[in-house]
Amino acid sequence: MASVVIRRFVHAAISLVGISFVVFMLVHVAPGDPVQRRLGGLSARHATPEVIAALRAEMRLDEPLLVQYGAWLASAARLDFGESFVRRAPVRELVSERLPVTLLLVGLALALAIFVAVPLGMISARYSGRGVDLVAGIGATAVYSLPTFWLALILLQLFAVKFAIVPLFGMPDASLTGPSRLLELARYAALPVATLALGPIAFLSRFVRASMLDSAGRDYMRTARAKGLSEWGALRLHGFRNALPPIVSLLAVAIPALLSACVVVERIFRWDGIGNLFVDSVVARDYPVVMALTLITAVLSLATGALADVLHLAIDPRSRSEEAA
Amino acid sequence: MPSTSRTAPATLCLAAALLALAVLAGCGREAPAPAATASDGSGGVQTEGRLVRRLENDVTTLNPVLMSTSYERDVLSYLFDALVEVDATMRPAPGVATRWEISPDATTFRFFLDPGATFDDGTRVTAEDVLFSVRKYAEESSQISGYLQGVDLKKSRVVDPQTVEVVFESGRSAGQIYAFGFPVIAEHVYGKGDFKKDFNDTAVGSGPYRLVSRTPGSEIVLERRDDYRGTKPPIRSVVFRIIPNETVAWSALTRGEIDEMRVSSEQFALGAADPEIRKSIVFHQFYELGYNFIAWNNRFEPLGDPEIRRAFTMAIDRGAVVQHLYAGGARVMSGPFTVEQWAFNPTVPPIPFDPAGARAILESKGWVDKDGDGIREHGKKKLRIELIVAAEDNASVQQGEIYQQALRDVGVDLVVRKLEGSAMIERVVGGKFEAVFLGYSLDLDPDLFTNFHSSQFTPEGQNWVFYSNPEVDDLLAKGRLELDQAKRREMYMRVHEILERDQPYTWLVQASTKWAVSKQIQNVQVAPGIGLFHWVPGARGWWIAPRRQPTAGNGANGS
Amino acid sequence: MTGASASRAGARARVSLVFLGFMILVALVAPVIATERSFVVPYSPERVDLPSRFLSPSAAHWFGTDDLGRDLFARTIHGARISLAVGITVALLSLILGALLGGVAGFAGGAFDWLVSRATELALSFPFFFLALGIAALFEPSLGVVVATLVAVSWTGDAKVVRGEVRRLRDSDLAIAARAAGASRARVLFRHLLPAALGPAVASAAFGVASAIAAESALSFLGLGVQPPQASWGSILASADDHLRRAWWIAFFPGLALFATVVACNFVGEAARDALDPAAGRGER
Repeated sequence: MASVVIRRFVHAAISLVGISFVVFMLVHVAPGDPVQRRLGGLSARHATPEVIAALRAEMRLDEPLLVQYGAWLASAARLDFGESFVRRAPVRELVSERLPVTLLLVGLALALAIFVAVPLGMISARYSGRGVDLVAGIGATAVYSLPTFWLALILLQLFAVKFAIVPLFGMPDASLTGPSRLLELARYAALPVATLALGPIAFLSRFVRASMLDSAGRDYMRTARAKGLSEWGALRLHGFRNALPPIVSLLAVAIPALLSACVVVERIFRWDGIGNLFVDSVVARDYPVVMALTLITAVLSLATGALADVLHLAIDPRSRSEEAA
Repeated sequence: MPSTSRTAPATLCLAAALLALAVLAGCGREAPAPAATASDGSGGVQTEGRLVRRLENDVTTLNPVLMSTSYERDVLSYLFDALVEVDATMRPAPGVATRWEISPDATTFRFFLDPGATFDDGTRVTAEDVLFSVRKYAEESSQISGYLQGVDLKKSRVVDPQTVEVVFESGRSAGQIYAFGFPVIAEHVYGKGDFKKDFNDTAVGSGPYRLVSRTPGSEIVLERRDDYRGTKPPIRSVVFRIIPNETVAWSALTRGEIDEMRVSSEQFALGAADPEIRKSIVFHQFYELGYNFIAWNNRFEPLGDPEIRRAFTMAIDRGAVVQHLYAGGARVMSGPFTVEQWAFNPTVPPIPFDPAGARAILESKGWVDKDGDGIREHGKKKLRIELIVAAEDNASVQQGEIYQQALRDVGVDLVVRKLEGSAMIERVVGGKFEAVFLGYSLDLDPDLFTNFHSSQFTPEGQNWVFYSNPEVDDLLAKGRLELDQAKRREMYMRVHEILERDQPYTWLVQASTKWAVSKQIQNVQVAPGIGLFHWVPGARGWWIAPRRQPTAGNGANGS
Repeated sequence: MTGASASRAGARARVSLVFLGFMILVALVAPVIATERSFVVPYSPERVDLPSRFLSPSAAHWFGTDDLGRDLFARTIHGARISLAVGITVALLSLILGALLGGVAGFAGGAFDWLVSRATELALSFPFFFLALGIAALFEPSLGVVVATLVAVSWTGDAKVVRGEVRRLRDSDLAIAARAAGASRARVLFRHLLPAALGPAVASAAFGVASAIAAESALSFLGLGVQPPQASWGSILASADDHLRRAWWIAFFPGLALFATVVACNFVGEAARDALDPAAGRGER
């Protein structure tokens, strides 16, 4: 098992270097000059050519690309991502301001998904092939076919405009404290979290269902039933145990998917997380921020993937032998 | 919809968003009656209180030379006095310099400093400090280094501790005095250490307030200086709260936690219509020096022909744009100057909407739609022009589509191309475009030399459209050196007339800026073309009415 | 799966296919039925009419009008052209690219296999849309860039599947027989193994169409897709975002068309997958 973990780790490290190299080259060869941007675009008309050249040197844009990449990699390894061209604050500061916002959304969405999908999957499994299950099945396909941004717009239209029970968009005010802060958070976060959670709910509920049906045929379930437990009792007893592998798998798949969805969700709901920051930074050619966010999302995705694999090994001994095969 | 505030930190740069951003200006459309004027002298004026301003983004530096955003400018305007300030009529006003003399050839500027001017560490502002400042602004990567281009630092000199002379190598513009609107910094402070690194979090200025604390990402607290020269502002402390998110800021304003903010047109329309909101908030709508326009590259055939460009302008119903898109909150431009500027020529009317006239012109120039596809041709060449718009700004894209339709109606194929901000700037500054939709915020001096003089073709100057007209060249070259304002005005009014005729740009509209201010704040005045801030006395004259019923709890700071 | 649920899936797929056929038909005839000279929908999708901004759905404008007074029905059916064309093109190109790279990697092994495997692993674990957005934003937005971007990030899925199949088949009787008959390595791969290995990837092509359509609309929603005044479902929804309070219909109808198309593609994909591999559970992808 240790060797598996090490191999995963090495692969992940190689992947990280690879993706950062590709993205670095891409952003630097693409058209658009961050120096003009930094000086204030067309209002840079009041800057002299000498000043522009000096700034280019200061931003290290006058060096060969490979040298620039090497320098970036070396400081990134020390968790120093440089300074944002546009905001001129240390990237680390910017990210540490924005990342918790995104993680809050993603975390709440995951929690909601698990809370709803596990019982839903169990009910589907219990009534496999019957009405409830069929509706849940079609519903799941429909739900993960929903374009995130359309879902967000429709939810806003319904709950913020028509019924006006939540704010149109925006973030909770950080200056509030205590219970009023929680209430405010709930009001603002309800729609974005619901938007994010629906996909994972669809995915997880079907996965739980499949896992339960799979286990339903296994020996220990038979034993449980033979012992006189009702079918529900057997499902409840062993069911939660069987819901674990799907939840672990969900982690691996859902983190990248949720981070992707956050780009649009944060945009629509005006939450200042890393998704929104990423769009702004790509557009503004803010290379240091783009690179840092690329690396961070990659680390998050790869880390949860690796974590899921390790957890699988821990909770399901069978996969250990599969891995060895 | 805060499409601008989403990208706020980047907007300073983004030409198309410049309009929305330019925090500088305005003229009271419906002059917002000061809610309470100090009728009996200064009897009603409260000299205490705390003003909480909203800052859309944190400042990255408090070093005035390195500032690059309007947010920094907002904060620094309280901490530093400029050498020369601007008054409510956009004219130069005494700042650290109480008066100045300009040599007849406009090369030598002599400033007489206020003997009472001190930095907040107690030292006097001297001629050396001013000279030091000039050098720093000219040499460091400051946004205004171009304004000071050609300054001769060897000939510039200290005459006596209160008098300084700044000399330029050759004759400068009469409007050059505005280049001295920079904050004066202290040599004994800013002359030591690493200039780029050491002064980002501290400030030693000569302004009416001093820096108390700065919490990155959260707030900046300023306090009134008791040793300030001249009139001390009535408000004791000014707090900048950093709230990037527009909706968060709005709810903070309605709860009374901040006192002012810029609002979007949508918020303005909603708020102004709500009597409940109007009980606690006053809305201001005003015009800043800025407009949007389509620039036609004169080197691209057939855009070199002024009559063709004029036909394009005639095809666009700018009145309908004002009425439908801006709900009346904008003005149709008649040329390069806005109505607030003294160079504005009131006898030049905007070109009327006249599609039939446009078609006739195009026809007479040989552009006819022979193959019936709706697009005119001249020989084999289709009348097709690419219009660049800023991709990230929904409003720009929307306007591009409107003009596309308008020109299609007269048989011109205007292809709208969305470009990301810096790619767009690169194309524009390089002169590699056919047409571009932009917003512009103007300098206080109406000098158009770098924009339309034929010696200023990009990359030399900002004449990216390669416009060239001998008479305009002559007027612009003479006008910038003319010290007699009446004569200068005459020249510029003529420039206005010629540019209107030649249409190197299609000048579109000047859109209004909207602001919401708490009713608690008194003596809020709008300066035409400038707005609420960045003129004197301006926001320095605000004071805060005592709360009628001091509500228990909820942050009622005893005032 | 039981026969009953498989046949239900088949029924859903048939209904979906009929719907998709109808959408394709609408997309094809859109330029004829929605132009200024048409009797059916007398509006061109690009016709700006400022006085008619924000008209709610009516007999004159079935889906209402947008923020520039353009007819949303005309725009929605023209949007179908873009969405379907992008979806099908991307799925097809990804399949070709993925089959080639995945097939060669699986067959040849070695360094090339290692490279392709890392690339697929990376693409599958990295937030898909982050990458697509990052690439698309760097170039001048156009449909070509969108297609290229989506192919660049989605071929890896196909490559992974094909690689696995080819590896499985490499040592099978099929390959051994072909080699015994004296076929070259290339011939074995391209004539014998690849066609046999393509099955699962082809079956999942409908999923590919669905995700490409969804991704195109999301990119267009962020302003990185089609160029104005062209309408794509995503670009129509972008203007809806700014006018939620005024006009629900801008978001509703084009979004519904988008949603229905994606769902239909997914139903078809599920049926195809079940047909190919009846043992595969439903709802897991």
